[in-house]
Amino acid sequence: MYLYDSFDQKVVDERVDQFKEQTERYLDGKIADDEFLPLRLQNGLYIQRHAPMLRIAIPYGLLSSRQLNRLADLTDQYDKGYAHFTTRQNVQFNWPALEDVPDILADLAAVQMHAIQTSGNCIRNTTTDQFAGISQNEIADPRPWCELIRQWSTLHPEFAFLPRKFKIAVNASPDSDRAAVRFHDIGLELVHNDTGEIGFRVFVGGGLGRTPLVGQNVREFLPSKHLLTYLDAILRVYNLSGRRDNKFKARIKILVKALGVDAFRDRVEIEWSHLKDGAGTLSDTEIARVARHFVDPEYADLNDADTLLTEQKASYPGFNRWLERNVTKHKRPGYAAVTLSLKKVGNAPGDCTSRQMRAAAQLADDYSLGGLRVSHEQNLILADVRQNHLFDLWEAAKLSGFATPTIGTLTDVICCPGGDYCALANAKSIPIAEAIQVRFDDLDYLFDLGDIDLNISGCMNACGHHHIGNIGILGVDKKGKEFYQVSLGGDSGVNARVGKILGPSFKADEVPAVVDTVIQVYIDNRRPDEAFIDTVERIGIGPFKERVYAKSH
Amino acid sequence: MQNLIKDNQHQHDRWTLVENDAPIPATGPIILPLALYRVQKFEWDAAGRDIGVWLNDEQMAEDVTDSLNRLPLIALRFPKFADGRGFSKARLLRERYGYQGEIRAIGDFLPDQVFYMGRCGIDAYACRNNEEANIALTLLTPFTVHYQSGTDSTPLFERR
Repeated sequence: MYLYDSFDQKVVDERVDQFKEQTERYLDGKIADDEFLPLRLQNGLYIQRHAPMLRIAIPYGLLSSRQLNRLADLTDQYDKGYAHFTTRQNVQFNWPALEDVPDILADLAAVQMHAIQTSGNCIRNTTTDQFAGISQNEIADPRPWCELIRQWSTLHPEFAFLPRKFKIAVNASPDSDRAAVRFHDIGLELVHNDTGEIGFRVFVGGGLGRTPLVGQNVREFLPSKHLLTYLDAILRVYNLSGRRDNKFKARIKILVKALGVDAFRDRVEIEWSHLKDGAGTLSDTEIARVARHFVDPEYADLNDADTLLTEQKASYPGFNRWLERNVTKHKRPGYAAVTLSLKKVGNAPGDCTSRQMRAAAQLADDYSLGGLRVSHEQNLILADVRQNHLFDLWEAAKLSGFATPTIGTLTDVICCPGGDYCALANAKSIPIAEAIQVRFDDLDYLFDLGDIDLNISGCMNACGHHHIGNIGILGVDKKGKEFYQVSLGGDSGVNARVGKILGPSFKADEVPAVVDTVIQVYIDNRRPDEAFIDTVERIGIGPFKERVYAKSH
Repeated sequence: MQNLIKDNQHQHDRWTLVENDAPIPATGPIILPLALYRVQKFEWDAAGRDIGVWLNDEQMAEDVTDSLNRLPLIALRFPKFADGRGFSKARLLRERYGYQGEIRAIGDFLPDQVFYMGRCGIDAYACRNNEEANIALTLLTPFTVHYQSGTDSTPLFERR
């Protein structure tokens, strides 16, 4: 992973000093609440339902065991002994005291972490595939590019007060998209051109929230050295032309939609014609400097451990299940990537106690070269596990509640903190996730159902990405009561699609039965080996709608 | 007025900011609303006094580029501290149009923003009050490392 040099360290250290001074001034009554707001937000600090909430960046999902141990210590020292991993490769503390935040940031800076621009109307943490660098067929490792974007966006003087927040994601896999790049303000896909040169296909204007839209292609091939000047051009067009009169129409997706993608592209190209080849054009030296941090670790020369695994699977059906769902192929023979599930029934999705964090850090040290990743699906990943250690790791993971073998299934729910914590939420989301997990607790049944993304958001802001869940659930407020709207057919992957709303919303206690009915319709209609999303695509939402509403009335 | 920071220090402000529809002082340096300047540009340019203009939030750098060599001062009005258009306008004036005169931030901005403003080419700050001017003076360079290029430096990677 990227290691800070003295320059990078200085930036985060000076940021801590700056925020400490700002916080003191605020506590002295010298900054008004509404003026302190953007300053604290750009350091990840929200004021929430119960207390402030601090969002800490895990840049493009990479975390060392040392950093995870530090997070564990901080949650014990300053919070309530747990934290929440989000859908955008960040981690949140729910209960810090405002006056402690500068000290927390200082402790984070000491392990090369920060909360810079994790909130506010600025460029946020850049995200990518949790299997970056180890996946078998990626075009190139996206992480050096993510780090280059991180540095470019950090304290960017021109783009700290944008019309609205701005999120960038990078994907490097030609046949899958685990970073949901087409639902970001800018989505970048690493591609080769005809001559084999590396560059980016650029999508702009995707997003969720009140107006879910799929990002539009603004450039089929951007040579990689021009990445930052091209980003500057897009951001400048947005900064100058994005709407500032209405918060709900201020994202870049609205600008792209209003102008039309062709006119938007023209504006960007004109702006870029001035910036292209100027300062900010990446040198080969700089690309190589950053890329050096992401070269493969010294993998052992191994063969796949097929025979051993076959024996172990035969003896332990539970291990077999876990292998099938929680273990992912690695580009190197003899290695595998393991997803540690944070979706155990009874735990809020993405929540992790300090004890679990320390345990995960220990597992990383014991089995995966001391490194971890955080996924968009709110789980932790050990990316470099030897296949002949998988069984031992499974046994160890069970002890900490990480071995729930449901990755990618209906109960691997993506879920925002919802009304239990968040001041913006219209409805609770965690209890809905739990009720569904309880109802679908038969693992054989879950496996038979296969891959199904179920995403839950407590409000229109869509932090739980409900629009792009194969099944999406959205909390809505109806005259002070919590209701839930269900949508089907959303897809965060290469076939990026927003789900269609099934019909009128449901009470909380009806939701598990509704999901059950939806699943029944799938089972009754599916073709052999047809995934849920493909059945929905083929038969449309009509049959689902019919059955769900026939039953409830 | 002791609210003006320029060249990293408090300065006496010799300019009078003329608001829309406000009376224009008969003598002395004035900062006119851009529209007012434009309708009588010929007369103002021939008036033999120091004339600057201020741009409101909707007016862009391009609206003033034909007069850059005549204007010793361009002020950018921040309608609200959260409105960041002025940052891009300042960079365009400096980097694209080569403007050498004073670029002054006016309106509703925070002392905490002067660092970013300075990196975008703004070199004078008419703070909202004297206390904030004092604070702004201490916040001109909270960061000694800059990843990106600005009007003050090339990108860090060139020096690594």
